[in-house]
Amino acid sequence: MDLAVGAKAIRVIMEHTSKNGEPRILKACTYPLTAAGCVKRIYTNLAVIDVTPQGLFVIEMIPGMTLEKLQTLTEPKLQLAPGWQALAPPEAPEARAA
Amino acid sequence: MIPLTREQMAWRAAQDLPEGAYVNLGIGIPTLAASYVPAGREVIFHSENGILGMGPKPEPGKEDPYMVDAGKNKTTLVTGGCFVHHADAFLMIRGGHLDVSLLGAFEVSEKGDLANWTTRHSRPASAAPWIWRSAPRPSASSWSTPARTASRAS
Repeated sequence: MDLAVGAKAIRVIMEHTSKNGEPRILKACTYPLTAAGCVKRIYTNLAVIDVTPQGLFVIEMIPGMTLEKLQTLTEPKLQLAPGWQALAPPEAPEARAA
Repeated sequence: MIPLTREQMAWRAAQDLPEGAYVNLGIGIPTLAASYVPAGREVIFHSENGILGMGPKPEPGKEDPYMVDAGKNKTTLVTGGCFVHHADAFLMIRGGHLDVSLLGAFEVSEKGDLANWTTRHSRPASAAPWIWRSAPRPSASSWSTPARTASRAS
């Protein structure tokens, strides 16, 4: 909670859906909140989504994904950001050595 | 259509970390991001158990059992990195000195509300498990929503 409230920008990394395929990006959270209105960007295994006062904007999606398909896996309305790109990281990103 | 792996998700988030930023990594996938910062870019990682200048995951066989992050994972210290008191590590957070915090989550709402501390049934892999052992289990009616600005030090 200290982190969620204290850091200048909060970004979240999580699977797009639960193990049962239920959306984890919701109109309202069902689990108790850590902090309200703090998340600015969400990185999932399917897309990168910006949280703005105008709503959720998809800025990247994995190749083959469409906004319609992504919408079925997401509860609140998604909008496609102008200039959105493919989410295509290296197949096996090279980890920096310690 | 192939969903990203945990490593690919961490890699993608790491690409967005700006040069010179002070960054805290949460438990789980975010921890992996320390290993994927682009070469030549300096990002200073903070861990709330008291590390400023946390490095990537140690190579197999080179783990130091006393060198752990807030999620109890073995980690490393970069050249120039330091240890601070647990309370000071939290003062850095509460004083608003961290630029980015990359966190895991169970749920996020369209307004940016974050739910990442309990599903009411599980206990997190915390470096401070005594909090969970000693605290009474709160009743459902006592869940509260902390306001983002309420406890921010000015």
